Amino acid sequence: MSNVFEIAGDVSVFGFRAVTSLFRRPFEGEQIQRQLAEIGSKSLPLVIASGFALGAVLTLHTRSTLVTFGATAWIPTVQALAFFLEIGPLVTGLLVAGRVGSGIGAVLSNMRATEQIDAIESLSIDSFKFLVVPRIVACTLALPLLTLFLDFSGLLGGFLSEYASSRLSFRLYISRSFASFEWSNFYAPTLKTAVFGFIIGTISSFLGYKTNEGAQGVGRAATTSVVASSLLIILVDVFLIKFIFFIFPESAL
Amino acid sequence: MINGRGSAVAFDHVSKSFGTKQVLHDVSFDVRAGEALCVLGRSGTGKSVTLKLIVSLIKPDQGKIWVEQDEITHLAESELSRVRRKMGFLFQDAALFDSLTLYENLALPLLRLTGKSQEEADLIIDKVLHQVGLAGDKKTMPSELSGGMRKRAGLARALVLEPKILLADEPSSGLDRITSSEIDDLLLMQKQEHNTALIVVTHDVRGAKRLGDRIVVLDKGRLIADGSFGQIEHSDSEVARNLVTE
Amino acid sequence: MENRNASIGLFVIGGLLLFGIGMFVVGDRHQAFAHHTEYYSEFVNLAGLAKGAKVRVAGMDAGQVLAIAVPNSPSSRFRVKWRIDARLRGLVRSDSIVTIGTEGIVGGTYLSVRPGSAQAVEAEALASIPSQEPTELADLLARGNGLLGDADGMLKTVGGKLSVALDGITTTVSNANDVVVNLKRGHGTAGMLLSDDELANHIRRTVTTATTDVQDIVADLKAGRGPAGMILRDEALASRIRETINNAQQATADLGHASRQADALVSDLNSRRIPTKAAELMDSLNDSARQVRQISAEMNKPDRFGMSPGVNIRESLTNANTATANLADATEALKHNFLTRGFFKRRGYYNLSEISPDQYRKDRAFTDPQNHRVWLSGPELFQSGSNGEELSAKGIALLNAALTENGDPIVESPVVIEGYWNGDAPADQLRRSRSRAMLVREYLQARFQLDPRNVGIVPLKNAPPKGMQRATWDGICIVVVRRG
Repeated sequence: MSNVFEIAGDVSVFGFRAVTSLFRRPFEGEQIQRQLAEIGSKSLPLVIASGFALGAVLTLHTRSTLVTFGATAWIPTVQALAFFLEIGPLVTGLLVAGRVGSGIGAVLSNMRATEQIDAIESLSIDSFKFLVVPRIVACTLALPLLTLFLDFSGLLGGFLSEYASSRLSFRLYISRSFASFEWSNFYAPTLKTAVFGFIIGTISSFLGYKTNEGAQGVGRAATTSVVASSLLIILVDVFLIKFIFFIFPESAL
Repeated sequence: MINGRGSAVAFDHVSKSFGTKQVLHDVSFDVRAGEALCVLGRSGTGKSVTLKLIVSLIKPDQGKIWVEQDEITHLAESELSRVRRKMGFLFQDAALFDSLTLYENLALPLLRLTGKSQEEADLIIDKVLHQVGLAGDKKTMPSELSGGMRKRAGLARALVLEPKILLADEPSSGLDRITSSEIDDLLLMQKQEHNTALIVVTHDVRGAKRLGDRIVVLDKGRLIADGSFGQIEHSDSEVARNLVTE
Repeated sequence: MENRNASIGLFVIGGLLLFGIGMFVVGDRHQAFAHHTEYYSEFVNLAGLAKGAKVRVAGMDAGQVLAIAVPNSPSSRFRVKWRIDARLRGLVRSDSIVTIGTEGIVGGTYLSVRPGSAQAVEAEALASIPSQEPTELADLLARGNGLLGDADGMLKTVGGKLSVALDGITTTVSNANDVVVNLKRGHGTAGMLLSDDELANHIRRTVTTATTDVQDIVADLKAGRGPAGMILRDEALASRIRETINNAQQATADLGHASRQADALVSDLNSRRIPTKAAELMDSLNDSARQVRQISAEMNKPDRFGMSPGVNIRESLTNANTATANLADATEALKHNFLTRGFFKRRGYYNLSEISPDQYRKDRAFTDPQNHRVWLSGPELFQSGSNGEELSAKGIALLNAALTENGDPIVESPVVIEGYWNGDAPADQLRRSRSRAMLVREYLQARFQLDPRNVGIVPLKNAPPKGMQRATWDGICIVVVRRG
């Protein structure tokens, strides 16, 4: 049990160190760019495809339910609220945790095992700043943007699915989608994914950076990164939702 | 003699332990400029730790380490970077950065540790790659290189800073005889052409005999023999004698 | 390298673009980028209206609810601050009405602003716009269901009961006829029945009550007092109808019972032709005959109105027959009314022509302070003419102004014209106030083509109903009865 607290403490210190060293020179902009491309751009196909499929499927489900009440006009609203409030942020978080978290865990633990981190240190480069901080920063920046991609591709998938059954016009679909939106329904859930990104970056980097068990450790670091960051995202989401309701009471439906 | 002055690298009663495991126990030796020192010993006797102590990746528990005029165990990070600029490190598996091309791997230390411009760096990189026989592989990713090429690439990265001290961790490990002797040749050439001090950690006795002006033998963290190859062959220590005669 | 930067560019710019689109679309719904005008309205019941709810002006999405101030005591109301696109402010007039609407069965609530009349001034920004309390959907549904149920039930009950009543009354009539015939014949045993004072009274009472009740109903129906409305509205009347019908049935049963008893007695007597008992029987019969004679004599005595029982009963029967016929007519009319007339439209009010001033003063429907009242003074309205008072030119102008100002409600709602005359001669007050009211009614009906059934008059001498803050009045008051 004390081991859990020890790890929690280590991770916290690790994350805190990342935040503080972010504001010290050198800023490693090149590395941040590199990671942004790796984490953001390369996740786009996955995120867009998932969002599109989810949107189409969700509309099929809500349609069959809402038709019972004669409330088909609400399909776009339900769809948009579901996506922007919860499905978008959470699914993006989990997808990125799967794709990027495992990558970070594997890459860093492999670099440790093959002495690449030592090599970097021997060049007087702060390996933490060089390897860890850019990954955390990139995750934190990329997640909200990826979430938007998933939200909107979900909306598009929902629209096409709805169009197939009711020939609803795009303008009307969009207008109905945002009919019940508050400001905070839009930006609060989107921005909360930055926290998810920070969690994914921190946990995966921690596990990769601190693992020094050779080739076997690489696989374990990758798996543990995904499991731990996925779990933590879902737990933190619960608190974040409560927190958002507290800050923006009108966003509670 | 063991005061650092005139030496490229000097260990002065250095001890290091990880947890309860004592890796180095009161080790002292020195390497003069332009001299090649081979550190022999069986696996797990603290040979690699010795090299990491020199570049200050780890700090000793006791004792002092001199690199030229600087006692490095208590240097600040900015001072260390100045000291590290004098040294090149060839890691056991080359430790090339997976995500960078060969060119970028070589450019990183140049751009990070020296104030050289892009053009100057390009010139140096071309020269070094030519030297190790990888002139046509600038754009290649490390994963596409063979073991021997990786080792040469690692050597190239160690050489771009034109080091006065070259550290090599098991330069022949994982390589066939011919390839490993090619690496040995490259090391010797560097030593002869630039008067570079070599510290080579190895368990390859043949290579050590060929490369080393002097040999030190480590066993269970202690330095048990120090001298030329012939001297070690007739050393008092049975372990050392067995090691070099196989 | 360039490839990588391009992908980062695509990713970042695309993401920011989507963020921008999101802000724009959500902002569009909040009209964050338009000019707004803000107003206030007050409600006792919010019906679930919340901050951020839509505001619709004449059905168009125009803005949203900004804030809701909670009242601190039951006497004050929720103060709702709302805003609309400034382009629509021309529709919001000082006489606009704000209500809380519901979007549908699963929809949310919104604020609905009814555009005011063209004559009214444009409402100032931050003005309080008058509100109407919301009808909650649940209430509406329940009320609608209830009404339908009531209407259905009423149709069935009225139809069923009336036919039962008709049967009952017919039976009563024939039974009563039998009794009368028997009485006329001086039938001993039947006469015996009538010695039972209580029974006789009961029969008489029942028949009379039934008759008068039915007459009342018929009178009401004939008078065209929005039968459906009357019946639906007046629970007491409904129960009276039921009671009447019960009474009629009871009477029928009683009479039936009586005639069966009489028959039984007769047959009993006829069967017992036993010689040993003959003398006794004869005595008894004689006795009975005497009694019957006595009863007959008593029955034939005129009652306190100077009417002989025969005449009395005959008249009752005639009445009952008339009532029956009328009732049948009325039922037809009633059905016709239900089916062809706007039932809901006519709900809740009725012809006012036959309301007595006293009834009028007591009826909440007319004295409701929420009713719109226009007080017009006599000297301004009337001038002396050849046949007493007549409307002056100024008075006509005043009436026109008063009614134009009121707009639609006067055409849609029942209107009562209260006549007042505050002259010296109390004896003339009723007559003069009535003639004033009639003058005004004639004019209004002619001028505005009002449905005569919707315009009532009532002479109130010189005293307005209680609660009008006027002890006396001279002139008229036009009351637009609130539809409830």
